[in-house]
Amino acid sequence: MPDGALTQVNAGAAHYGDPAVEFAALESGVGVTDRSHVGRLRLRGADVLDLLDRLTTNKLETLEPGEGMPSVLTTSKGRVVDLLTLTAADDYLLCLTSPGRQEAVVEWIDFYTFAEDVTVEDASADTAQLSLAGPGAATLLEGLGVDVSGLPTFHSRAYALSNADVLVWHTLSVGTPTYEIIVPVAAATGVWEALTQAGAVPTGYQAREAYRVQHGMPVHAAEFGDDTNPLESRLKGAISFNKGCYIGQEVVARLNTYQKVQRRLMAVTFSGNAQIGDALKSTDGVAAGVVTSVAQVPGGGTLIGLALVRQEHAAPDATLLVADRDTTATLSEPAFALATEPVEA
Amino acid sequence: MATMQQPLTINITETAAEHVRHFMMVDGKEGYTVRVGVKGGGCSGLTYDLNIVPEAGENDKIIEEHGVRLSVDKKSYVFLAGTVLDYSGGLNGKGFVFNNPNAKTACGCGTSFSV
Repeated sequence: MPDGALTQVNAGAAHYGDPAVEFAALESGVGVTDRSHVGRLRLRGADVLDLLDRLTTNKLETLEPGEGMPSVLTTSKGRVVDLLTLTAADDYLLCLTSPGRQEAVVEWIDFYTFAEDVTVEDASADTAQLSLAGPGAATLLEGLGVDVSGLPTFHSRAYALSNADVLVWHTLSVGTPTYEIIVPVAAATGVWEALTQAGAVPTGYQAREAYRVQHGMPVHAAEFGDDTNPLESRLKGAISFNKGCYIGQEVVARLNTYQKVQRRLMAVTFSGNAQIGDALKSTDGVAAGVVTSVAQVPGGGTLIGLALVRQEHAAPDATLLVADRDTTATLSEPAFALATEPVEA
Repeated sequence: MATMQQPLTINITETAAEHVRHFMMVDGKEGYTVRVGVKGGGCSGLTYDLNIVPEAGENDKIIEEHGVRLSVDKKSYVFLAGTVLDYSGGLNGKGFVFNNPNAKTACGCGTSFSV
């Protein structure tokens, strides 16, 4: 274990014997992780897309069945309520929230629902979520009769897998392809066994957390929340800057247009120990940021992390010091941000 | 001398009522209801909604003033009690304007508010 707590409360096991093997599977084979702790909501009604388009940052109004996208629920001050990942399934919109955030998201949507035809149902307890990640994920699924070739990122499709009706969702793939498999809870064990018998390595949250940190994927309460705006957390890929008004749009647009974003999420490689919450300072002692996530690459690998760093210090290859420790922190751009942020014209 | 406190309601000015009646006549909608409400959205969180409809909603609060029938759904009424619906005409006019005492902040363009 690194000298720092994991940032996420996870379902499933910490590991299934050897986190190093599990981490390697995510990087170069196929790993399957029980991520049923993620919040899952079903939204139904004629006004669902219209309402969420008004409440969140991305352009959802024209979402077609099978399509999906991430979108950020923001306050009127431009702070993050949660990052949502959405896909239009057959007769409902499936919404993933951060773990444990489903209730807050339901309350938020409910507060802003007036005369609209919208109902929200928490599907977190009656479904399970098995996350299949790694370069061999699509091939493994195809071997089980689930042809995901041609399923673009964020698109989902209904399939039969191990005698169960499942939704396979190609979510954002940073580093390696990832497919979230949403399955009725009663069929979850059968689908898990089918995947592992086909060669997917059962992967616990230790390896998965290291994989997340290595690829710079921000999570709630660590990299984003009610004290950050979506731009400093590098969620620009989930924001439409030309869709018009949504709650918080004025603040987010102003921060972007006038380049007023004060901090920037960066990936960090530590030379020694570090913990979540550690302060970062420049080599001449100026406060430079805070560590938000820490993970050790399994198998005795490097201690890596994520940090919110003040703009003037947030340069790739810059070296900062971890306050009160004999540790240096070398910065780099998070792969997640590089993969998702729109290229400036 | 103590004065009786008036219950909070929604009012429409004579100018706004005149414009409502005019629009109803032009559209052949005499006798319709002006249904006002609040919607989530806009930069500040809540925006106003105004529609001319054949009937009020089932549980709407009904207000009649200056020959116009206003209706508002109960949840929106919580955010609109005390509002005066006015009309701002002319080249720089904004059309129908909600003067809402519950609105604490408004966005730059003034079309959304928060409470």
